[in-house]
Amino acid sequence: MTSGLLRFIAAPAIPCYNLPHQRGANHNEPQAAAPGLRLFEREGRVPHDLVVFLQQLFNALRISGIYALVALGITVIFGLTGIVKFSIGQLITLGAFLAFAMSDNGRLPFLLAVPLAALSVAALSLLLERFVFRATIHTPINGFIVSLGLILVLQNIMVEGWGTTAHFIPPVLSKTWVVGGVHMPANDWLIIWITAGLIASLLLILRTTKYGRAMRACAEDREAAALMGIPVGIVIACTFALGGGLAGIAGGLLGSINTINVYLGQSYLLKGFAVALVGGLGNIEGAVIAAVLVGLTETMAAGYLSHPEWRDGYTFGLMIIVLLIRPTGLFRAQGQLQQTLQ
Amino acid sequence: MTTAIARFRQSFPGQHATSDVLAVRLPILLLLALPLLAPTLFPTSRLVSLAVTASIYVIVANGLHVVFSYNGQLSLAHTTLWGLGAYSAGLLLVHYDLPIALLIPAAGLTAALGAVLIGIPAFRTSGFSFAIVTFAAAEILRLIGNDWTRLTHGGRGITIDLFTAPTALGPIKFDTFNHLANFYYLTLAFAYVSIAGIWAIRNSSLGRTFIAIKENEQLARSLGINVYFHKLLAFAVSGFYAGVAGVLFLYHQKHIDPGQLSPFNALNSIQFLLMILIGGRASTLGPVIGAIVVVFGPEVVNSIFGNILTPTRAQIVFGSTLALSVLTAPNGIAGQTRDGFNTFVAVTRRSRERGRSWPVSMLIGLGYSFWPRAAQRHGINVRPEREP
Amino acid sequence: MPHPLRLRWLLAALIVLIAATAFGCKNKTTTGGKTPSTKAATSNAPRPTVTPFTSKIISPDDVLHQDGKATKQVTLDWGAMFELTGPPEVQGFGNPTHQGMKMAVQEINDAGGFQVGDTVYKINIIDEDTASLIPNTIGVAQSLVQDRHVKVIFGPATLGETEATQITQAAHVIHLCPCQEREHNALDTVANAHGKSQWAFQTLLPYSLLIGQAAKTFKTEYPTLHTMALICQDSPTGHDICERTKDAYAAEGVKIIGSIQYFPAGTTDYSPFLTNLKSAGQVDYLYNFDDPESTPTIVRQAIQLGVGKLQLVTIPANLVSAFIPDIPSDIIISAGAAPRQEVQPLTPKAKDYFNRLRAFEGIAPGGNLPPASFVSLFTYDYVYMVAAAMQKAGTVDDTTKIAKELEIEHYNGVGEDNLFFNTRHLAVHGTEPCTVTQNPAGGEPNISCVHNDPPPEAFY
Repeated sequence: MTSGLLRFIAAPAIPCYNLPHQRGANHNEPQAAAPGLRLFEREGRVPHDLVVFLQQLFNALRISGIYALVALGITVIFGLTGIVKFSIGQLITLGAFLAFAMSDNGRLPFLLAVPLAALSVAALSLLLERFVFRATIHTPINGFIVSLGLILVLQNIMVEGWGTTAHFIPPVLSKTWVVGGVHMPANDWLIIWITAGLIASLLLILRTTKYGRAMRACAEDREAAALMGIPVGIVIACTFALGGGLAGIAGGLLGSINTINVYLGQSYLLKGFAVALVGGLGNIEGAVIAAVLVGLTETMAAGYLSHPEWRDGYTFGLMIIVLLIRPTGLFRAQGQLQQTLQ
Repeated sequence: MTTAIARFRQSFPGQHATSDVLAVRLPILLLLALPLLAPTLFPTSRLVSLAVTASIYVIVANGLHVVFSYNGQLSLAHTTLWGLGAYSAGLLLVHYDLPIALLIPAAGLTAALGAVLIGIPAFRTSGFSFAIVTFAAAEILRLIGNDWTRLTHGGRGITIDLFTAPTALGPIKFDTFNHLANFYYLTLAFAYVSIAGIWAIRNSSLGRTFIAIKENEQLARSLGINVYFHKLLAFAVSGFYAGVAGVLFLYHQKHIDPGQLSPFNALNSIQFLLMILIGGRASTLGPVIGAIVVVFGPEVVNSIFGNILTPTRAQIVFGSTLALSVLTAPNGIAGQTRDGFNTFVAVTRRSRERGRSWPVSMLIGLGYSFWPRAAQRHGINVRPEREP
Repeated sequence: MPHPLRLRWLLAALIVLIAATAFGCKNKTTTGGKTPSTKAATSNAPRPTVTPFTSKIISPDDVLHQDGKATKQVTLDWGAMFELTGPPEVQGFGNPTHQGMKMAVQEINDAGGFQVGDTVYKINIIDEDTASLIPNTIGVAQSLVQDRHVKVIFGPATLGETEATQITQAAHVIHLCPCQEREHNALDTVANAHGKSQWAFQTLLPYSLLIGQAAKTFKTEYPTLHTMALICQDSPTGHDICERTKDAYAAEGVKIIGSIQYFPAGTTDYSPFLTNLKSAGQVDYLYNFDDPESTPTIVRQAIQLGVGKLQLVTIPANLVSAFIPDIPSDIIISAGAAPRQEVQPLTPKAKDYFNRLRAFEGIAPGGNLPPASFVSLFTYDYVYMVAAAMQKAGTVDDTTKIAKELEIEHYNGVGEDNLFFNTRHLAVHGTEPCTVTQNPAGGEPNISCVHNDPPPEAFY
């Protein structure tokens, strides 16, 4: 039943290479050549447990940022239309692939390729809204099923286009900083800062601009908003584009820390939904806080609880508990939510 | 008070606007009898095997029909409840060697219990949150299946002996390798019972209570209906259905492992929902039609285009067909057929009233029946009664 | 109107049905619940002495040779059931194995077929997709045997092999696949392989024979490495492979650090698990297992976190060097062993094979093949071997005769110059692992590969 082939190729190499520890002696290299720059090499002074904890904290930070981007996309679309857009996982993957295609062989710098990829995904999302999801605006359950069909279509189109082979985007920064024993790749910091900046500016936009107010008004009561002269159709279209764009950026950023294959986005989708629910569907600030919460739970569960393989179980357990105590999420859910599935 | 409840319940009349007519019911009953001929009509054991699969799916989809279409709750845990039934049967079989006749009620009750245990916390939420909570609960069950190795045999799952199980019912053998047709009739019998079961529920006061809750939960509660209890009851009934189907599934497939009940595979967790939506939510036979389409559809596509379609491209075709069918026929095949039939009757009648001859009227009616919305634009009431 | 009576009648009918079923099923017997068979291939059956290198080694040209006296042309149906769709860690192996079979069949057909007696046979593959599900695999095996009446079946690559083997062997069908699990079930003993499963052959050298040998070699090559940690996918395959590796290395005196870290399938961030291992102690060997596409991510994160000096990975070396261009100087990466690898082909035959495979898959010359393309060798050579066995046996229908010929056949293939099945029906072939290290001069990392002959135990 289990994989013979996998076990076969797992047979490790019998090396024939000029061994590094011998070579070190020949070339007078320092024996403990560091993988990167070490800033404070005083591991002895920081308690071991604290180092491990800080390391896990850093691990949680990176994953939380990505979760936040995905959950924001989900939460704005759902808050506005009630459509459970499952195909967003494939949009994440598409973002990664486009970023790869644009930056491959040094065509474009990575930091330019990601926004371009995100824009393309946003455009696709806009097209999907116009030609597919607009027809299901009054029956969100049908929108849900359509999005499942789109999963198959998008995923297999990507298989046709890029194959199932793994692709890579070389990291922008390849150094690893070691601070007090905590290993922090510079590339991860870059992603954390980009994510944080994006989320902050998004919150600002949705709070202060005309579009943000219109979107929140539409989420509150679509018909009333229409009566007040808000172009609801355009707001919905913009929101789909926004959700797609966020998924695209998340995918592009993931592409520089992960191998890219057609299954990349899938696992982020359900975590994104869990985050959106815990934060209160449609609640933008809630989604950000919940993303940090879920990222922390996941990482710390894997790090400190027995059975790290139950990581997702712990996350979903947390979600169930939160929903039991507060059925609308930690923060008030916004928008036309609860009865919309029928 | 009771009269108020009764009146409230009666405000949701039966959905069979036209199907009360014997002329409509008779052909449907004849169509329902058609599967009895499957083993003689199908040339290969592969097709009979698919028919067994379809019968098993019909049972689960019927169960979900009670929860989703009648009671209005979107459960994503049904694949897992189904697997729970198969698992409990498999473990009882392995450790105690029980006969199938005891396994079926045992697995049904286990799955019903599982449904209640999931439902008790999950029904505190509603709508989309309910769906995701059932999803999460299902994932936790899968993790137990995968990682509680001592109880569940871990990720390898349970395989029952391919050639000895199941054996015989008196002189009739049910071995799926050499006597597949017999096993098919066994599953078909259960499928028929399940159809009759949900039909009876639909036409009982219990069914009307379920629908009342779906239509307006607040109002139902204000009339003294115990909403929470009835939701749990509907979920438990559908869990029982799933559990029974799980035993048949185990006997047919000979194997169950946690991967098969993983809700993480998006299509896995919603395959039964898909059947209902394809078949038609508003019809008793919707899940049956949906299950047949979902099981045999890919086979038909494969036999026609198999030479030019790689599996990847077949999935693209399947995905776009799915999306297109939902967009063009949002009420499912049953709903679309009924709309078409009603349009045909109404347009033909009006055409006759306007003095056209019978053949011409029927032709016009036939033309419009493919596009009920167009008829609606001409002021013809396609759906005389409200959608449930 | 409510009709509570109807409901009661139906319930009564259901109870009667159940009771009737109960009455009739008293005499049933069921076995089940195979416990994981992790026991090593220890067969107490006496080992027959074999002299593997005495009989004539058949070449591909021998198979394709026609004497011009053939009078008939017939197309044979062979079955193929592989994981063409499904999760990446399964279909990533199912698809290339399928490709290998297809390429060999196309070559034979393009050459005009193979001659048996006075008939020239071309092969038609009946493709079945198992969709990476065991029940589906059972279903398609049954369909191939009962509906299509094929005499030869290839596949599956990883899932459902035990179940499929039961069906094919009951029908006496020649069944070849790289089925590792089969070694512990159908082919456990020599007596088994020549008795109830005499038509089943495993085209892959058992892992149990490879891993111990590799652990020994590492111990002598790297005397400074003493500890090992393992991180694997939480799937049956992951559990199985990690526990076997752990046992093999522990038997060689390597100390295992922490517990094996199992992460859920679909994980993209491995750092919490790696941090766990790091906090448990100094890690020398880090063994990881995930689907081939995700493995480089684990290595990169492990290097970033400073876990492990010798990274044992299960993927081809070119993938590692592409994804981790900046390998630190003190890190060695030991990349997957294949019967032949494509990065630096060590024989002209292998070089030619991978070029043809690129052309067959429509990949530009020099382009990247899918990660696990080398597994196509687990079917490619064996298509020729079955054809040769049919020629020797003089029949395409009598599977018992064909199986007898396969048992004694020696074939000059791509995977090995002298390819044959040992007495337990396990293919005997060598491996070509690669090592990836930093290039001291800068630029692309160094990759060096070697060919290892099969261990002596494999010959029996």
